[in-house]
Amino acid sequence: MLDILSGLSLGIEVTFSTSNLLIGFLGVVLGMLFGLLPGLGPLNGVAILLPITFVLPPESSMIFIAAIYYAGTAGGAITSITLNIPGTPMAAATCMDGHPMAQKGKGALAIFTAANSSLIGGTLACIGFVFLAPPLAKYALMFGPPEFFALMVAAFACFGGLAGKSVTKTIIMTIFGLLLACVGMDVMTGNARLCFGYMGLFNGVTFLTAVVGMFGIGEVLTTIEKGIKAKIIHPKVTWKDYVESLRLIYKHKILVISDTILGFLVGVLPGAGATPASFMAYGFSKSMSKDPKEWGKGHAPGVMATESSNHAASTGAFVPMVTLGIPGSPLAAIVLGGMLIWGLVPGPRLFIEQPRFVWGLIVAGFVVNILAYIFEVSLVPLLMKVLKTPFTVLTPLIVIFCLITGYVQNFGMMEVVQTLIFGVLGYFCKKTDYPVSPLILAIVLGPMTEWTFRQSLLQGGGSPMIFVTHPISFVLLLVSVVLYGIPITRGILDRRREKREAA
Amino acid sequence: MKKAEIFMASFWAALSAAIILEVHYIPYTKQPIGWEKGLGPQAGWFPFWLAVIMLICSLIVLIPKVIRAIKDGLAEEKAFISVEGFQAIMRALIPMIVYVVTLPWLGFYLGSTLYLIYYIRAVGKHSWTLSLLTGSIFSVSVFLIFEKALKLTLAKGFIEPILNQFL
Repeated sequence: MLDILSGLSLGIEVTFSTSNLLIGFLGVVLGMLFGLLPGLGPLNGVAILLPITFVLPPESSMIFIAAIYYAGTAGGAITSITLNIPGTPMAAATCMDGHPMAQKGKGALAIFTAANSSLIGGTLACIGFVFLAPPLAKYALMFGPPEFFALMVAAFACFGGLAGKSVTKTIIMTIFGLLLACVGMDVMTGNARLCFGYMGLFNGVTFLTAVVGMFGIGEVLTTIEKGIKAKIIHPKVTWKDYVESLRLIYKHKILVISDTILGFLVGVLPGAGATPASFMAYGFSKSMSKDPKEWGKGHAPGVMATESSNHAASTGAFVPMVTLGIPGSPLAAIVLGGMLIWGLVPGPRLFIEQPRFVWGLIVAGFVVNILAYIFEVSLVPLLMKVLKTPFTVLTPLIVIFCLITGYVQNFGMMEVVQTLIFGVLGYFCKKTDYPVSPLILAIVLGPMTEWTFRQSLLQGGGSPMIFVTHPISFVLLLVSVVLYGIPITRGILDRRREKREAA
Repeated sequence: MKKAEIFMASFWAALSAAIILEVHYIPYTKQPIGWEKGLGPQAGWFPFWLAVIMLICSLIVLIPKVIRAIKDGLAEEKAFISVEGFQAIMRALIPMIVYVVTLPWLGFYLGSTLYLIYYIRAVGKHSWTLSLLTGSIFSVSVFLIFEKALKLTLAKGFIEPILNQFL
């Protein structure tokens, strides 16, 4: 308890400096913009804006990223409610009840309900973070290379078993990412690997070219093809709606709290992240409710369920990232890559070696949550105007930002071309249902995965038995096998049933 | 979608096959893929076996699709992309490629300005005022942020001597 209090006071000292608060506010504004714009979410925002942080100290960078993250998640709800297009993937579930509410003329109520639920979900999840992360980190300090290797495999399995449509496609993308991580100099022997005789690849493929290519350019291409044609419903905003939303949330307090807990736990598990969390919370609360027929027709608790859980999950995803070095969501995977560039080693030692960073992040979670909330609630009419920004103006701006990001990795044209190639590849992957998130996770964790694998074998005298004799690693590997096994057996059973029905 | 699915699966299969060749068979890039006694895998072991698994997985995706295509023909039940969608993508992609190809000569500042003006005016069909304003304001702010504030030097192309006077 005492550790937590002293940690929090350190975090407050870090966060409440003028420059960090300013950076946080800037992050809130930018994150809100990314959240509002349909087709782009906090994930794209973080991917595109991450390079800006490389000149900042890690604490400030993390505050900036957290601000984009929270504000983007919050802003997405406004788009879902007024446009019926998810402003962010996390807010997709909010469309189901949010948009019908707007059609009924209760748009402002829906927006305020969303904002208040997000604030509650985000804040409670931050409290959960404070109590869960330090003991988890302490426990993980006992881990050696075999345990960490098993943990990475489990993370890949979570992404594969829970998130993807087809396991085989997920495995292909995971391996592609691991192979991309192998490109360049082998850290243990100095050999040039997978360069195809081309020394331009000796420095390896930087993960940011893949990230901005796929989540920036690839996303833009997908959005351009779909085209955004939707009518905005402009709600009339009054303070009465604000008070009414508070009253409604108080009435459904148990629902909000249980969905926050559900969202937080789903967020902590690697792989799932905020999008599935919000759908799960929606389904859970609907099945528990007394009047399930009202849901989907503009029922305020529907908005509460999705918005409280997606904020809680966003926070939860940082827990394994900070304590174990395993990201809990695709976005956390990008942030993890950023941490490596900032010169931090994610993992349990972070709490001991970088207390300013960890506690700064935790306190910043509370602060940017509140900043994003105030910004959103006080400026709803202004934020609605952002939705009118034509996509044809945004497209070239995003493209240029992505390519500049690619360029500054190494100050060479090679990376610019790489970014563009990843963009086109990302578009094709998206269209043919090859999930991009496992690829990003694999590029980020790839070097660590191989390194811990080879370290464990050195430790075990070249025998792979070391993964079985260490109990934690054995259990984790078993879990991974089960996670990959579930969807595979389900697929085989489905196919058999189809054949039987066809015959 | 059939053709696109087959194309993508073949792409992964070809890529993994190329990696297997690169790691183990081409003399110039070959890596040891063995398992050293007492030490564990050599440098090429990890990429080699990953590529093998990837090849197997892409064949698992590819082969049933090819068999079905041979049985039912390649007629598409759902097009990969609509004509309008394809045109929209090309309108965005071609300027993007031109921008990247000309980058070494024009540099980021001139290139971005021209790209923005062209895209907003010709593709977005917005007014000249908006396209010129966005183009110039964006490039000037990127210059101020990157060159002045962050001290990151972007490629400037043939106008480098002119721009350097402002540093």
